Amino acid sequence: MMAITVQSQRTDSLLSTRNHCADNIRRLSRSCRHRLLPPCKLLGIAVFSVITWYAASLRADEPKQLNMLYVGVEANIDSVRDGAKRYEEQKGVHINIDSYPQTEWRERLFTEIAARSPHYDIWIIDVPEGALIANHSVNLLDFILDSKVVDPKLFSPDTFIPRLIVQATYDPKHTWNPPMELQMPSYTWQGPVTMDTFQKMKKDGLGFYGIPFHPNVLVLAYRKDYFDNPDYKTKFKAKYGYELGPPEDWKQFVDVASFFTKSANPDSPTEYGATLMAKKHESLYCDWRTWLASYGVFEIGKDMVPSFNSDKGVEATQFYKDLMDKYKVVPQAAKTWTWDEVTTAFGSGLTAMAMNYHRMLLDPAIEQKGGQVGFAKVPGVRQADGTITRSPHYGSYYFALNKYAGNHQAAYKFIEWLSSAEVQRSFAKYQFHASRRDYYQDPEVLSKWPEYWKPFAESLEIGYSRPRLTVFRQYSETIQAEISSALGGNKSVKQALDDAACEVIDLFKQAGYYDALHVDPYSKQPQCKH
Amino acid sequence: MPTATAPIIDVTSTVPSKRSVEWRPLVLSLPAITILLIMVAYPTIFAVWTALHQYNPMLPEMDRFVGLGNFQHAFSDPIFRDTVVRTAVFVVVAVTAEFVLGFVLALAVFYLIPYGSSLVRLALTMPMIMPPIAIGLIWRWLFDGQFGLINYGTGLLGLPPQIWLGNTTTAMGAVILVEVWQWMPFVFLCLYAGLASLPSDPIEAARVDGASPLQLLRFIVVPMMKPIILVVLLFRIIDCMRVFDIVFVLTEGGPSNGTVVYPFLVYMQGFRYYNVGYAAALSWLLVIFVSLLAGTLISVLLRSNVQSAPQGVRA
Repeated sequence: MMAITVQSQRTDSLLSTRNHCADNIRRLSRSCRHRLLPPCKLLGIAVFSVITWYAASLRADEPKQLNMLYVGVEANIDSVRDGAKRYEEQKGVHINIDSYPQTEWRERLFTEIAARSPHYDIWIIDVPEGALIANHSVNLLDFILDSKVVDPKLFSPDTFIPRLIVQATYDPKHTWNPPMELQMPSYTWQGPVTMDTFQKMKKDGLGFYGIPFHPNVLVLAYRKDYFDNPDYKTKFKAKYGYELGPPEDWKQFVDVASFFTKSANPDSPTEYGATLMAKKHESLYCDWRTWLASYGVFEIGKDMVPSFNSDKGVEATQFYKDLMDKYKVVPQAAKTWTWDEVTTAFGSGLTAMAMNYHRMLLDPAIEQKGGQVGFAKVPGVRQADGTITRSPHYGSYYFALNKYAGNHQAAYKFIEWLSSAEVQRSFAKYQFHASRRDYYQDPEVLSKWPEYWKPFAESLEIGYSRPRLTVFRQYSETIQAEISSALGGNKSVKQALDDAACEVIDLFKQAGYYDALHVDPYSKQPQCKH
Repeated sequence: MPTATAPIIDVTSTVPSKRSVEWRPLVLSLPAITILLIMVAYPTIFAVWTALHQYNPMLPEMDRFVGLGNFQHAFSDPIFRDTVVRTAVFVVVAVTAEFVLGFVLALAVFYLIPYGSSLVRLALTMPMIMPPIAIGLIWRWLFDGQFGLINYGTGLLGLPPQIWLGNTTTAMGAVILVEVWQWMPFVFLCLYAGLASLPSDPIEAARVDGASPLQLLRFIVVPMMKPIILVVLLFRIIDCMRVFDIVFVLTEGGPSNGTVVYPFLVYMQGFRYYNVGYAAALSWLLVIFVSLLAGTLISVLLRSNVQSAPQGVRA
């Protein structure tokens, strides 16, 4: 009862205080209204307007959220998620990441661009889409060459791998020409990359449409435990006359693969020496062009006339087929395999060597029995002077900015930060493939998987990327279908490549390439004239 | 002084005028019509417009009106012609196999398994309820030339291993096999339900008259099942003509272009090559063909209903 009384007194006291305050406010308000109304009102409106305008302008420049379209594991989504979280903590900008598997990502990107949607501020772009996307993206030279925007410490051009810079460099007038990146001006791919490189691009009318982020390159994996085995070493040397080791050229590749193929060597610990990714798939096209380029074939000339059906092209393709059909060092099932199945085949211990675009592992059961993996650059063609021409296929993802969205500068600042050397180094724990040279020399990075990073970085320096075409997917699938025909024995290699060349000419003609360049493709490929 | 008169009923206030009878339903259904126009009419008109243009949303500078050029291009394109033939083979073989197996199984389960038929029905339903992508992935591993269970099985029988998905003939056979495996149960269930709904009198009468099981099937069961058979065939043909997911996961159209069927060709043109105008034209060709085929089958179905219905009763 006592408690209730005390509580009631306290409530009365509070009510009385509140009423008193309310009276005071009312009095003050009335006085303002009666005596200070015009100046008070005008000043209030002016201050409010200025604050609103300033806040709005700040808001336009510094959005609280950026939307990004990303691809999943292919471009190491874990590292980007980690980076986005840290960026939000540091800068207060939330990065909303929508990530999809490769096929769905491409369809989503296409739908977004078709609708000219401003939703995504940032897209991750796989290089084959580059020529098609360039004119829908922001030319980053506007930011990179603006000293008020660019942060030289973060952008630090000198550490970029030069061949990744050219992958985002296009002529906006015709993004598809020249078709091969090594046909671009040498300063765009040879390095060193400096701010002058970007100045030159601007001067030459080129555009730079993305900051390189996550490259992939073909690297050879081999069974280190077998290659280091003294018994195998002795036997191999006795048979072939040189030391057993990762093959340097294609001849050695056949020797080593035969040595580890049971049908050729019953003592082999593995069923097959090597494997390929020869299903009618993008993996086949990428595999084939590694062989082709090592034979010195460029695929498409500057005049857009295909050259892959040259004698050297036929020789390279025939050799690729022979690995399965003549030398039999690759399982026939490889004709239905892509990069996924190659990983499984090597991991299960079926083959002694395999090539892929990531660090392949062995099954834990094999590792427990002492199984080890070593890595090396893919072999090439040995020239008369003893040098070896290697051209491992490589590709890269880069960050581009959506031309139809706002927030260009804020989005640029984010991708500049995310691609900076320091931030990329922090992604090493995710086995991130960095686009900068210094990453692969960093002791902390090399403390894990040094045997992989060395050949990986060296391969990136000599890699050979896909043509830059607005009709790339159709071009690639045309070649996949014809090579698949040759591998299946439905056509000879020569016939398949000739047919592919004619189909490619038809495709390029429809795309308007020859009209734009005033080129007659039939003068170089007369068999294609209808 | 007011005079007492009979209350006057204003007829116009209770019976709606002719004008309001005409407009009120229209006004009330206007929201639905508007939504329908937005969701159906606009895309249809846009699809026609697209089919008449060289249209690639990624390259707007290349867009132009080509009239019937996309259709003309289709008929002169060898890939289109090969795909049409391949799709026809796929549909004929798959639907025939599904129908024959489904019908035989339905007869066997209905007439020969008096107990436990519900368990068989349940087991056969499983493939139908599985996602096609999962089915494609499972079968891709089963067919694998190196690790696949099928080659393991044939190896036990002393047969040499085959690269099932690496050869155009066997790859198409594999796609058809998976299609039949997944959708034969649908045919089975429909026909089983049809058998269960047949009147027993004509069958009993035929048995009393000494008809053999084969004669019963040919002259009594099949004619009475004709409407159900036609509906099942209609569903399966249309469904097979739009097969996509299994091909996409199992072979991606390869080897060579050996398993590229029509919907996959449309997908490639539209979503991989961004030739949206050409893809729209291909889609219209498919729509026209499927409509004609469905119309023919439906008219056959209606005629068979009229013939099989009792005299004077229209089905």
